[in-house]
Amino acid sequence: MTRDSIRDAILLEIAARPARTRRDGRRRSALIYGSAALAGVPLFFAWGGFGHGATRPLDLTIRIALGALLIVIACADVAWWRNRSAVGPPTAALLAIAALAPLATYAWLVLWHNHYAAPPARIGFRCMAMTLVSGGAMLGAALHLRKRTVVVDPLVAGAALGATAGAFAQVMVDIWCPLTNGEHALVGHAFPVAALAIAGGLIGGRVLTIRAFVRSETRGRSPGSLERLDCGPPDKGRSRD
Amino acid sequence: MDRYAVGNDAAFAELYDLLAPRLFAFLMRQTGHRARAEDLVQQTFLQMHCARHTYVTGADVLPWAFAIARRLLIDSYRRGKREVLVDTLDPPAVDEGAPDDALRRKQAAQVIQRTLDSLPETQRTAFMLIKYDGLTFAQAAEALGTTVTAVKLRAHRCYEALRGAVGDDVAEKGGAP
Repeated sequence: MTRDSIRDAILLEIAARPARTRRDGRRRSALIYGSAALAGVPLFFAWGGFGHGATRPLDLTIRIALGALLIVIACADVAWWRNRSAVGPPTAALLAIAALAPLATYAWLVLWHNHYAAPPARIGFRCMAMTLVSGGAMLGAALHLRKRTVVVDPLVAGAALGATAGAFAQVMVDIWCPLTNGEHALVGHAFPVAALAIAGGLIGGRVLTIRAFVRSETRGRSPGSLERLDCGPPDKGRSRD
Repeated sequence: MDRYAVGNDAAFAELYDLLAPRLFAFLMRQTGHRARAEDLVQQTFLQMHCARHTYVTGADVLPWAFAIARRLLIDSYRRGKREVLVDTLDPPAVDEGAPDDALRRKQAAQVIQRTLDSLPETQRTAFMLIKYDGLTFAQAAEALGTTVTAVKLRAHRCYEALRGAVGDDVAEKGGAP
């Protein structure tokens, strides 16, 4: 059994350290995710907007974008939304998302090749850039919002978040880009999704994992107390060490 | 936890009273060191406090708490804080009336401990969460970030290893396995 003094010490620490409530968290998430979701839009319009993909029949463009939307919903259902678990889905499911999202992106696009008269093939650097900017912003938002909260396998969780962010960017890119040939789908669409998954894994392994609070005696503060971390609501009066 | 996540700070004391003994027992078994176990319990509750806004409505708090405790334990080992641990566990209550039985029980406990120490951490933890900490297979699976089938398999392997070790030990000493 833990002693009463430990209980009192913890309750004192908690009282001295205001933390965000679920409502604060939701408001903050909506703001940050909303901003991140718009990150690729300027690029979309700067490079021709809806008119750029007009060489492809509109119904095909809608179908391809809807397919990409289904892929991102499937990925997010596992990797982004935690459903009824505070811990998150099993590592194997996250790993599957990280591996399958680029493959699904590639397969879905190539499936539509030869269904219409495609414009001349290009390598796909602009598609890649758009995916990296839009998906990178979403990944950055997710990593920031989930910093030090992932309790099981942060590396794999980061990779799954990266793949999902890349799949999210693909919806906009698929509306913009009229090409579906194999090489273009690989370089311009699937590769950046895989790159975001790898980046998510590498960065997520470092920033998502929970870490112990450092005792203040090692940092020159009052003995016994713990360092203050970013766990409070963004109220004006909150003090920061 | 739901009440606490929406801002009812008074609910934390209830949460603490509910979870602390179980977390402490788990961490005590894992570390064998009272001060470290107490520190990790404190750290676990601070993490839960700081991450309360991420707590999913209606989720089971037990796997989350155990997953945080386990992650902090792994983190403390990785940071090189593993010291030469002095066993501060209270000696188990033994019926002094039967010295042979007491000796056998002590030897069996040593064999079990050695066997558990020799097993992979994932198997050992799965076994302990289920047998000692009273988690269901589903809760243990969630805490370990794996499936129920995998947890059953890990716990079964651990159980088989223990059964083999205790059986071999008894056989070596001339008893029936």
